[in-house]
Amino acid sequence: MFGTIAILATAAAGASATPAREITDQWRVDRPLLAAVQNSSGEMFGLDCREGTCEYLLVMDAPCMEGVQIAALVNSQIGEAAVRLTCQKSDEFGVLSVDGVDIGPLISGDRIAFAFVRKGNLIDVARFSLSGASEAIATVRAQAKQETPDTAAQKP
Amino acid sequence: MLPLIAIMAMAAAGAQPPEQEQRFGRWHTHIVLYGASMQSGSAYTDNGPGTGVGVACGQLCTFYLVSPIPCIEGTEYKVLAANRTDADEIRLRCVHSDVGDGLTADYDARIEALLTGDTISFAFPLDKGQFNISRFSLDGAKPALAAVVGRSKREGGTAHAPDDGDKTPAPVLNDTTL
Repeated sequence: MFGTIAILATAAAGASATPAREITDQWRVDRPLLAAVQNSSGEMFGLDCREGTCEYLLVMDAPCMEGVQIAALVNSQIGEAAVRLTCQKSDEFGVLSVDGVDIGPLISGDRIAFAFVRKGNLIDVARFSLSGASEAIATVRAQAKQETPDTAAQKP
Repeated sequence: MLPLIAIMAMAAAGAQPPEQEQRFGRWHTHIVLYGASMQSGSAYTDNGPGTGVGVACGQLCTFYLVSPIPCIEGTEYKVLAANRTDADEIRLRCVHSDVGDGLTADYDARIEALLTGDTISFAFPLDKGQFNISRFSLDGAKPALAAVVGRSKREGGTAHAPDDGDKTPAPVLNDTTL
């Protein structure tokens, strides 16, 4: 179930896929440094760390236009934030980075949701469980820090 | 009987009951006259009781969104608004009235641009990571807004936008919680 998009996201990160370490039945940690969750619609949300920089990614089951930014709202039990989703890579799937604000503080509670325009003017919502998210993200950040001791920065 | 949304708009504009009503596609206007001039007015559409979107004008114009979702008076909410070509976050402030809750903002160029095209959608964040999604037809919005906002800008001018009220109404678009 996790396979296709996890492999895609790993490929997007420019590295080979290796078996995942499961944190819970929902959030998982993959090598290289990716903590992610897949929802029932096949979309993925996670934190990807490369070369000392971590960024949150959404992997959608539809292509996007590389370089294009779209407005989105992120909502969790903590609150909401306006962000920009930037299409980083697109083929069968779209890999979008979550830019504009640090959504880390929103990653708490049961779930997180992204509202954005998918096609035309149809606003769609992608929702993800946050069960196990804190541990998975902390694991990836710690590993990123070990591999690049001077960094562990997060892209704003 | 006036729709809830129109009463709310008039209340927001500090106006008396309307004396002039028009329909433009799926949009309506209510205008209160003072002599030959517009004292206040509202251009709006709805998806049934307790839902709607529009612009109310007195001396200034205010955008408003009415939904069945309760809001906390005075609180500012981030809402995602999208038409067919554009999407943006807008910040709306909750206003309570005797007839319901509404979210308002100054009617500016950004909102004016979003109220173009054939539909406009809103995502309003709810508790626990959910959103209320509402979608409204913009069929008739252009002449309705011209009749109210344009007239407000002209400060009592008497010109009227052409009536396109013979258009076939679009299907009702519903609220959804996702």
